[in-house]
Amino acid sequence: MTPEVIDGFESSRRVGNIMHNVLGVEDVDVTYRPAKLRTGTLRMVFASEADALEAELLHANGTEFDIASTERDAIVMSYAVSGDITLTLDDATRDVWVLSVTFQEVAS
Amino acid sequence: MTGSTHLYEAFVQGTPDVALPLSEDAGTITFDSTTAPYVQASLRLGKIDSATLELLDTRQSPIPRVTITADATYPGDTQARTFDLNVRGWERDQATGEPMLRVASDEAILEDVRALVDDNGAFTYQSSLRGVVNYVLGSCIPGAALEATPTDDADVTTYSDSVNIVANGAAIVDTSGWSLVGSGSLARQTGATWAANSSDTAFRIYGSGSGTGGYIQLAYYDAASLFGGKKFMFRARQKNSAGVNVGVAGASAGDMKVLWSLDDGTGSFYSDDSMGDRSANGQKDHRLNVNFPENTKTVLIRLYHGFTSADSVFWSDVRASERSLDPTDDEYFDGNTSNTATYEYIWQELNGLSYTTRTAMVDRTPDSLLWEAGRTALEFLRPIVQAAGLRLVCNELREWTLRNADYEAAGSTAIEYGGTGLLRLYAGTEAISREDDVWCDACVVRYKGGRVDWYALTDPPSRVRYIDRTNDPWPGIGFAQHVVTRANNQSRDVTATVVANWDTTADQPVTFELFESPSLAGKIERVEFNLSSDEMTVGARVVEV
Repeated sequence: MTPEVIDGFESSRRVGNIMHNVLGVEDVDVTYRPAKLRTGTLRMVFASEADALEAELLHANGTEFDIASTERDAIVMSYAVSGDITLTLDDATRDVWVLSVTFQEVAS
Repeated sequence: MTGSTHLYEAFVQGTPDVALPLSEDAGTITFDSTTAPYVQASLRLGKIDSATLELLDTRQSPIPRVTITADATYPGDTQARTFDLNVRGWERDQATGEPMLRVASDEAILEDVRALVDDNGAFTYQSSLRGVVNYVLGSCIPGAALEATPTDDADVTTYSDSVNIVANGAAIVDTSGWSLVGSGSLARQTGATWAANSSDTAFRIYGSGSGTGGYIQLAYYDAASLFGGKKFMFRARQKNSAGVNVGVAGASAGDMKVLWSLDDGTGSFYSDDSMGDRSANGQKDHRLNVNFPENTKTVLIRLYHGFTSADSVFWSDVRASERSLDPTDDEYFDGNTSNTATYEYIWQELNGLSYTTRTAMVDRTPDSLLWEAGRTALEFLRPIVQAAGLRLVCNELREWTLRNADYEAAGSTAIEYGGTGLLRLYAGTEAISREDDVWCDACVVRYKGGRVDWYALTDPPSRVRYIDRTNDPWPGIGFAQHVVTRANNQSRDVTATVVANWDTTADQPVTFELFESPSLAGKIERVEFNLSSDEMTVGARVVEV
């Protein structure tokens, strides 16, 4: 599926480090653990209602997705849907559809 | 700041080993020197396929085993620890699909195994507690045995009163009581150094040379009160002369027989035979166990010549006693047997010609070494091991040890409040109490049949602990003193949570520098490694230093 555009991108990674409060001193101890892969929300813009509905259905099927981009290497990844799939009719244009997907990057 | 990393892995042992995914919230591994099993762990597994989960099915034999490894890096130091534990079970939450796996050290297997019938195999090893423990370990877990060190051992030999009802069991004075039946002749033999009796005397049956030699017989008539319904053990020593086997051995040559009848001996007899040694200079200790019917009236003991030879068969060391639980209690004794620290032997009437009583001077009865049907291996071993002041422990590497009160695991752990060291306190408590059996200066242990083992450090004692062992047979004294000594060396209770230190283990020396408290030292009683938080919680009984 090919959205017209991906509307912005922001990701975050949950850190696994554990902080331990040491009694009697200011200092803390840390035990290090790897951070989890990226999470965030993808906003995909579709020009047609049919494409938007098909994309929603695909995401709902519970498979892994790969993102390919002609412009930004940073967003190239595999992901699994980790939260809600939200389909919105764009308020301003009343024409294009916006599909929002909460993602969790997974090792491909 | 002290930074460290801790990596955990787990796999099911097999060919090949199969890795287990550990959840981030991976669970705990606990060492506790006051419980069996010594090591227990609960592990939360991640997403797992059914084939792997099947490998953890603990209903199979041998029990599946899981290895857990921890690899830690500290500033300037690395530590690694391996845990080899057997699977006790798992429980899977259907909502998350993550199984909770329970594993433990091998004492858990000793709690699985129960004797199906009364097992008296331990008596063979009773001179050494280690031998008894190894016997039980070997019968529960193939190949399991105590480590060579520590070498702590104890004599757990049991002693019981007994009566040798054979009045003339070794011809010490004459051959009276015995009559020769059949051909040949009977004489008293002196200088019989092969005999066990202290007088070196024996009965000598000469063959006639022409016919099959006869036998000597000891008869008990009208003996219902002596034998009726009782379980008896008969023993005697047979010795052949050099030429006796040149002749033809008859059907009963060299045999010992016990016959009994339910009437005055005129009707039919039942019998039990022990086959004789039929070689030149042959020697044999005969033993027969007979369970007499309730209405037994007549009992005969027959010791055979039975060869067609003019040469002799000697007999001596005849004993008939009610059978002890101890199958090795079949040695000859009479009133001439030297008294020892453990037994006293007394002729009841005439020396050499009367019953002998054997009185136990040490109070450790054979029921403590009988592994009764239905009792677990651990239930059987626990009272014997504890009476010797020891603990049976299997560590995370499947090494079995008997540990005394002074046992210390290698290494040491030092925990402080604040400061700059590695093991700085994250949380902890410190307590002194007269309750909860943390401290006592006297102890009372009650065993089966109301037998009591007690020990008091001070008189009168200030706090007495009671331990109920009324399901366990009396193992002799010792455990109460062990409890009091242990409680007094370690009377302050401390728990402390610090970063996981993988060299720490239970029974290891530990020191604490706590907030506004004297320096404390003792041994770690309990340590719980938390794989979810990379922390460990140490519990110890300590004293001020």
